[in-house]
Amino acid sequence: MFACLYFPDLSFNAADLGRLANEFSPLYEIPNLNTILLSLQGLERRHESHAAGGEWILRELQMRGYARARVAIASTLDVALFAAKHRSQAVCVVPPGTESRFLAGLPVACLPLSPGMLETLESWGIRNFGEFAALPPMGIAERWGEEGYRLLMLAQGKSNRPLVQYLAPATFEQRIELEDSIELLEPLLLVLNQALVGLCRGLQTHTLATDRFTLAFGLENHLEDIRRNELPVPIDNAKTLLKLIQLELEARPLRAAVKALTIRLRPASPRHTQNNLFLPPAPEPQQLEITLKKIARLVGEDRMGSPEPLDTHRPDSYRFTRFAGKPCEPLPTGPREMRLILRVFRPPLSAAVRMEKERPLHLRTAGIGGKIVSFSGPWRTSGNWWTTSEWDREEWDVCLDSGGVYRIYSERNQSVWFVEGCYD
Amino acid sequence: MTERYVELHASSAFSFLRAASLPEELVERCEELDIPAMAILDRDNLSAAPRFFKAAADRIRPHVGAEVTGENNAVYPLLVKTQAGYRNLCRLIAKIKMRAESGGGAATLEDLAAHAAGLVCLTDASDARLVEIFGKENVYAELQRHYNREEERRNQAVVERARRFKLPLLATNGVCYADEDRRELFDALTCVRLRTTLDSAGKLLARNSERHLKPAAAMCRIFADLPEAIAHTVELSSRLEFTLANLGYEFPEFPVPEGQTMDSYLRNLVAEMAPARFEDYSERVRNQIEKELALIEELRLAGYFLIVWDIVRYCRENGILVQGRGSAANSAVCYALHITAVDSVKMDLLFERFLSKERGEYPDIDLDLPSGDLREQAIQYVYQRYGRLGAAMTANVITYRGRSAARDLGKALSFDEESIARLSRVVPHWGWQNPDETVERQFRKAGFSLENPQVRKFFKLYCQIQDLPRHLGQHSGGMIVCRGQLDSIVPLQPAAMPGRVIVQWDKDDCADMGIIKIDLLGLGMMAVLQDTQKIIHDAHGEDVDLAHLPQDCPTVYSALRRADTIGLFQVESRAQMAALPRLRPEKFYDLVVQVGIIRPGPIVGDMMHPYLRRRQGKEAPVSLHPSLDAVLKKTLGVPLFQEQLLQMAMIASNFTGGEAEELRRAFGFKRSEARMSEVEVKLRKGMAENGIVGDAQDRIVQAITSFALYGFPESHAISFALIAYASAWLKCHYLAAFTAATLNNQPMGFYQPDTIIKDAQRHGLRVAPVDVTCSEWDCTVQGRSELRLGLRYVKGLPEQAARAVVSARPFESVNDLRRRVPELTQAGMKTLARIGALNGLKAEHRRRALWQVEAALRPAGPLFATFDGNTVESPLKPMEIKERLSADYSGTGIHLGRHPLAHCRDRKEFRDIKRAIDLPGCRDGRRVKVAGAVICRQRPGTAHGITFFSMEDETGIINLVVMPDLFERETLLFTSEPFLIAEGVLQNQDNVVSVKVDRAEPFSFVETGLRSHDFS
Repeated sequence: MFACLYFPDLSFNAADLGRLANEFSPLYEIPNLNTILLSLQGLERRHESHAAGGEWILRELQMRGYARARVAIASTLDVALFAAKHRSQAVCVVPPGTESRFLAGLPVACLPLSPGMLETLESWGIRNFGEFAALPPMGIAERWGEEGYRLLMLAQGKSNRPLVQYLAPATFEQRIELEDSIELLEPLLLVLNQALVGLCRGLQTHTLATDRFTLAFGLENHLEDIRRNELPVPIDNAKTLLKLIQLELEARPLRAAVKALTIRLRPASPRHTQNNLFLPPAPEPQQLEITLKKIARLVGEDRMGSPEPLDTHRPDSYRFTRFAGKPCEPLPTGPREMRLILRVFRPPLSAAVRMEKERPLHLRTAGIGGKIVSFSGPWRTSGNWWTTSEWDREEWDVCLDSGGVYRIYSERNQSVWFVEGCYD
Repeated sequence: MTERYVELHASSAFSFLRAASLPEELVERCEELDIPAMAILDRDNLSAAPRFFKAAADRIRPHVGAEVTGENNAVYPLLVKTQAGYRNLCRLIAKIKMRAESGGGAATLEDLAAHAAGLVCLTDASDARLVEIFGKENVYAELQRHYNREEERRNQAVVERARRFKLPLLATNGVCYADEDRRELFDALTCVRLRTTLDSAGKLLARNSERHLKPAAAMCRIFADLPEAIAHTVELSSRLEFTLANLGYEFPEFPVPEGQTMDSYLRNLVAEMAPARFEDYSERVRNQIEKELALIEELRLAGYFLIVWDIVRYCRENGILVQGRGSAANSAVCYALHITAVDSVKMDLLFERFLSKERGEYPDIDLDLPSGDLREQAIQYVYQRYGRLGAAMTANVITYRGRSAARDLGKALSFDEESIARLSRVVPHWGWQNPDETVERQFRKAGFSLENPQVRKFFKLYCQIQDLPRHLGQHSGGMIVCRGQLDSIVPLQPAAMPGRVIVQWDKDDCADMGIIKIDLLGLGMMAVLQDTQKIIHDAHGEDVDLAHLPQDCPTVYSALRRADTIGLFQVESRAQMAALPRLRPEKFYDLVVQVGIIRPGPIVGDMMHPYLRRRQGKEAPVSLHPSLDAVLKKTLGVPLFQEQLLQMAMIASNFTGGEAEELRRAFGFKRSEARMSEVEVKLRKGMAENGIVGDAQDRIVQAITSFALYGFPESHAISFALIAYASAWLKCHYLAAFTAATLNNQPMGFYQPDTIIKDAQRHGLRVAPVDVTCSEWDCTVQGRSELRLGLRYVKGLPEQAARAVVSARPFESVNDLRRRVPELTQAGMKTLARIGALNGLKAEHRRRALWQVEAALRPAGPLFATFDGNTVESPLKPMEIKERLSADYSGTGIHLGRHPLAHCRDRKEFRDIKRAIDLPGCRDGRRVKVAGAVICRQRPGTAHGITFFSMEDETGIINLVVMPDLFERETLLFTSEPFLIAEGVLQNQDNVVSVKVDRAEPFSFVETGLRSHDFS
């Protein structure tokens, strides 16, 4: 006999469901994340009837807080499953030999039918298991083949498939409860190293690496500090991981002594690529990651990367993208146009500009100032009018009597001026 | 010295999503800025030219030109200098458009060289070959300054090259919108064109807002360092002598036998045909014909009449039913030539409504043809007769309206799908609109707050984009032909439909430019009449001559008086049905009045009810003034037709026919205050001279002026009444054939096929279901009183598969059908089984067929291809009535059994519900409850928000009247529920029965999927 434990409106992860199932029987199947199918082999002897066994399982579940759980017991897995899912009793026992009668009233939509099959049954006027079960098996096999026959057996309660034992997937996680709290980084790294060596060995055994590590530190002040790090390439090397963790903790130290810690590595397929013989060698990815971490520690995460101009007319618009470490494209050969290079001041310098007849006459700002002897402009750009970050700017290139050439700008219709940069 | 500047490079919204202002807006802004002339250069088209020309009038000088796409993304701005240049530009655009059937295409340097004469080219001076092509004096180095560094770098290069090639510099502003404020719309249109959003368009958007019209002072300041570039704009403008005033259009000459002129040929034709055509070829007829021919000769229109006659002759010789409609029916010459079917002399029609010397424009002859293939055959004949470059359809400019505007702008502003759908729903798509309903209110109703900046932007753009052109479509039937080559008058381009060519101007533009248009209109009822004739001939061996149907058939008029008119031409609408029992037609002219009376004109002008009261004898038939008795006698003293209006002006104010027609136009749709008051003064003066003063004068003026706006031409009403009578006669005498033809020409008319069939069944027609063993693609007749539904009604069954079924018959079994007609899909087979079309293949009932189909659909290898695969007998029960009904509606949209309502009568909630057939017996003012399937919803603009519903039950049609407040409260119920139970007060006046609803609720029976016909 088999039991089906069904938890309506709940969803578990497979491991938790597996643990729960294990409390009743080592032989179980998890067809989906709110259902357990159990073999009652061995369990039957403990109870005088199947109903009593079902009541006992239900009580146990309710004691664990699953008040709305339903239990069904039947001679086949599928009948138990249908009974638990589609009958509302908390405990339902289908005595052997009555399966077909029991299922007859269920709507055909409960069967695992394709949309086309369901439509066909509807067009045939077949509404429930009983009507479907009454169709001639040969006729169904002629029309829907083996699958049709299997469905018919399901509807008749005659399917007799074996239980597919659930096997939990491998996890790479270790939790360490420390006897004494650790305050300093060095002893903490020793503990981490030991754990990482073991976890990386486990990864290597499964021919895996990790592309993300998560560290959860239980601190003395009863808070938890979680650090999560995505890796650009999968790594299976404990030493590299330790170095990255060290840099992370140096950049953002923990705020209290550590009482417990959990290390979780997300498994990923290892990288199997070979560098191209005909391209300049790029930095080794794992080393590059360590170097980037070091730079980030110095300048901050948000001020590091490769600048990329944005697709907009807005002046000086760019963003940082992750530094990929790829070799630069070679510069185009051939004659090149001579152009002035603008050295941009970031942030721009606030300035005072005197205008006359809509033309700039005099510029003064910190360390720069003088009469404007020649200019070009205005140059106008505007955009983002459909957002709150609208801009409408007027620029001038001005040459001072002192000799410098500068770019100045103001928002149109405002008299606030800035020096954006100077031309080399 | 005063600064002077002419803008010689502007684009209008007719560049289709490349610019954001209409030609009229550009002209207005030029006038404000004191710009004396402007050139609109739209991309590869001249669609804006007529409107620009008209708007410019004496305000600015409108120069013509276009930006022509070249190879490698080059664009050549070309300005027209002379008429030859205009022709060359038209031909050049037509050439590249016709070359690329998809609408794209590019001009090569060879193309430019072949069409360079009379054109001026603006260039960046990078290609010296342009100087060779256009000549040095016709090439200008164009400079634009939009406060852009990169552009200025290019400008410096242009100046340097221009000096090297000794080309004159020319300043332009590349205008894309009239004023700065339109830049936002311009950006949004760019996104629509490039199918992107404002958030992701990046540098595809404008850099700044400088592409607007700028006054001379501003342009002079911008080009202060290059004053010659400004000076050249004025100089070049003075060289551009061409305007659309000298278009050079000439109607083609009709080829006539040697020794004849077109006038003499037309005269001979009329003389030859008229005696047989006119019932009474009297002196009066001969005089009228002579008068018309003299005027036709004077106006040099013989060619036009001959060309129309030629098309009609072709149609007649090829068995295509054709009938001229509109004002042409006022002409005895048109009748003699078989162009129209109305004897204008016998009907006493006014020729001046059709043609007059004073009007100075060409007459308009519309030909009604059977919609579909036969009309296409006639159109192709015109193409073939005048060449692909000598004839074309007029364009239809598709403009932004509520929904399309909401959808496109919503997408550009990255609104989510749900918001876009909500915004699109904001705009009512049918019927009357509350005058208090501002756009702002509509937005609030849809849950959009104008406080939200993004919604506010949307709202602003939404208002600006209204009426801007979106793309060029094809007019439903307007054709123009031309002597020589039409492509030298207006650019041609291929239409989306294969084999069709369109001009880039719409029909109003063509009319404004004096180009004669012939409307070849497809009329569904003409196709029905033609098909009915054929079915009668094939099935019964009888020939029905529509031109000689028995007149005044009592059966026909009896049906009309009972408003038994479902499926008939023009008289089947709810409003027509409501008027028929009051008007009680007894002869043909009554039908003419019936067709003409249910129109906005008579309703708005308050002519309908007086006429109906007089008709019923409730009011004396007194006309507005005794002198008008003769004119108004036939309509019981009430003016109903445009011709009467003209005659009233002629009698009361001594207007000539032409002046009267002028009056009608002055008060017509395109009315202008100045013109109206001018004409009114003349009208009153004339009446005073004839002693018509005081109240009588005021009433006549009021009648004429209010009526001119909507009045319906009598000639038009007669033409339509002829078709209406023919349709009624055929329905009364050949119900099966007429119904089959009607069903074969759907969609058309007011009613769904199911309603047409239910009506035919009530008239005793037996309708047999679709059956693969005997149904054709079309519906066919089986004897005089039985109709077989055709395979065309099987939803999802392609015509090709259906025809394959017909040609592969007979079949031994379902499996045999499946095997021998591979075109049938699985879904098609199942639908055929579900609707009972396979019952004849040893299936007996639908479920058994479905059982067999499922076996037949199982893939079998070649070895078992002929094996039936169905060794087990069907264990399935036959479908119940509700299941059959549902299957019928989902599979064909038609149920041949009892009406769905008949199955509800035994329900508890139906106990007090009256049937349609019971209502005439109920007294006026009594409360009643009715139920039915909604087949029609109407919210006419003339009814001040009142909505009319037609509901159908198993006994007939029930009319409901819903007042605006109830409709507003229960909008969803009234606009979306397929079945309603309605309660209210019965109104039974003059045998016209309706229920004024005060309560309504939905009820469900079975999912029919039927849709009602909603219109205004």
